Amino acid sequence: MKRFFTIFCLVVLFTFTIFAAPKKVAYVINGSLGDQSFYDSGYEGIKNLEKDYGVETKLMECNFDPSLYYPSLMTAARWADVVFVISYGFEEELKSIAEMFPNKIFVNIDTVVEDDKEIISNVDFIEEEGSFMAGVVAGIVTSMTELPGINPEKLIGAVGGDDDIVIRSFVYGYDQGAKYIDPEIQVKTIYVGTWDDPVKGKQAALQLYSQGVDVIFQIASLTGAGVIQAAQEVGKYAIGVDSNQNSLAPGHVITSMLKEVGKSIEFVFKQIIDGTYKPGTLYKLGLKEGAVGLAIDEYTYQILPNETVEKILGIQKDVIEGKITVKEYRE
Amino acid sequence: MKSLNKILTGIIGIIFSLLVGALLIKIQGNSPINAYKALYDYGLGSWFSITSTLNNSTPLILTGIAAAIAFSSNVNNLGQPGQLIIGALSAALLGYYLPFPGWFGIITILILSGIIGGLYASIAGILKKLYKMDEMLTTLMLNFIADYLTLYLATYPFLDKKSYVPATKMIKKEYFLPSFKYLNSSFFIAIFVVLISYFVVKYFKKGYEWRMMGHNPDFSRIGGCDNEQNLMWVMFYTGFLSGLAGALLILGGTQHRFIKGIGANYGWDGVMLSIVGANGILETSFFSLFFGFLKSGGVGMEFEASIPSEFIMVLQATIVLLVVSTRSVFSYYGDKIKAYSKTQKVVKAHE
Repeated sequence: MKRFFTIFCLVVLFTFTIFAAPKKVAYVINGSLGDQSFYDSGYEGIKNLEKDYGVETKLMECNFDPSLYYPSLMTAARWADVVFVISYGFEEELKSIAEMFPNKIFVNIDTVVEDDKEIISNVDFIEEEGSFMAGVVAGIVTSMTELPGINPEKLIGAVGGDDDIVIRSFVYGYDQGAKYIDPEIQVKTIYVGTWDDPVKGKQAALQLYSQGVDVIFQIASLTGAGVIQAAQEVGKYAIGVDSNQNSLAPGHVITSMLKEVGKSIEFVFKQIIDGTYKPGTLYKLGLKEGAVGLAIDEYTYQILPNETVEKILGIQKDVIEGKITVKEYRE
Repeated sequence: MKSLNKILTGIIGIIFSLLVGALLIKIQGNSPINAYKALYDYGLGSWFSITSTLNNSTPLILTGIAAAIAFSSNVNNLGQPGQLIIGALSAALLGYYLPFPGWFGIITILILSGIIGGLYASIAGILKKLYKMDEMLTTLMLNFIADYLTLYLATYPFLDKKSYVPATKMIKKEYFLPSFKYLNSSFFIAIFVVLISYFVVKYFKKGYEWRMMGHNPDFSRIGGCDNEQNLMWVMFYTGFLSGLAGALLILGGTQHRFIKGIGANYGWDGVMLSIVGANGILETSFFSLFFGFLKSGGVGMEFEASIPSEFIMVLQATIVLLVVSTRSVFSYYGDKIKAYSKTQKVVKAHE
């Protein structure tokens, strides 16, 4: 009898795991694809899920239109088993919709949304560590006056989308990185106020360059594409963000601060498949986990000499090993 | 009869543009039938879809009739986006700081935000009155001021520190407009305002003066109306409507706070709608429902048939173009036929 019971239990467990294996994955974003940066990185991960696990995926873009947030998320939640959502601006809606579908898996990326019933999991990147490294690179480059286009002034810049908590964290880490190289370096920041207007991004960058800035870190999704254009035009330097943007303007994008939205999606999904996933988890991913970091490839070596790159990698190693601590903007 | 005519030509134009849209979908390699089925399913297919269509059309109705009243009075108020967003911000702030209880608070917020939107529009009216500045330019420029002013206020002084985007704090729970089975009561408020506006324009002395100013400003001036005064009133009233639309977005929508981009495209859609509706109040409201349908159906088209959501904007623009052209074609040939039959009559009588 006892043995029968165990077998019964195993069968139930087995069928349960088969049925629990999710087949439909939705990706809901507040912005739109095509930024070659933040949202595209996530979509790459979603596409990889399709390839690796044979799941069906669907995409909902909201184009920064708040009136679409609720219906898009609702549509996705009704259909999908797993919803990956970038919920800037609709945190409250996410909470209320997750409560309507307590058995579905909601993974919120880049912000932290905690509901009372612990349905939503969150992937929070430690941006400060990645942008610390970007600051290190910018700090080193701005003092290398032998490079073309670098002036003796110790000024570096950053162009952000909105003036919000996440972008402030980026700038906070960037500032620390630059100050680590040389405490006299000043960071000038412009918040453009839009995520999808490269023209405004370019204007902001040109303004910064004309003020004596020689390296700009762009943290502005599609707006930042304008920053890279501006760097190419005036012969100065830019640092990309989220995806590897080094190839967008060869010789002018020194490196990119990666924020592996796509890989983090794959990472969480693997846990879901393995059965180790627990709702309501907070995944805090940083440099150590490889979720943020620098994209160093042939384009970087084209600009910087080998020993400089090695110095940068050495500092990165120190941060990973904890020899250098990067302060977080939000404690 | 005239009103039915406007709606009919509108519908013919819409059918044509849906055909053009089908062609575009086909060129992109998707199936138009699937796409339009999804459009229907998500726009009208179920009770949830119907309510989301009605909810979507609520602000469109108000900005639409605001534009219609202004244009039919020969006042080029293109400031709906700015007035809407100013109204929305005022509603969000009033909703957080106002100490009044329940219903009384809601009514106060709606009226005050409307008045603020109206006053904002009146700036253009004052500039016209004092300095003869073209109101089309001033209202257009005031949109930018409203945009950046509200963004500044939501990013710095009134920022909700817990929010990840520029947004104000959420309004008090008691000011949320209730929903009945997903249908938000803000829709009924919009309909109520449409009826009031219709009666004001149609049966009131002021409304008559506005209409006459629209038909021929010289006639109304010689007839003894104060055009400058009337322009101020039209500005204020249409600004009031747009501001009210913004307030309903805050009290009625899903956000319940001012967040960057909340104005979406409601203001410009309103301008387009007044063109489609030939500046009639009832006609414009009717087509607002249709644009709301497109908006909620667009979500379905994106989800079911993976057609980019921008397609709806293309479709809207096509609709405006084709409706206007069908209307002028109809009136051109209609006039010709009328003239022909008249001459035939005259010729017959002569024989």
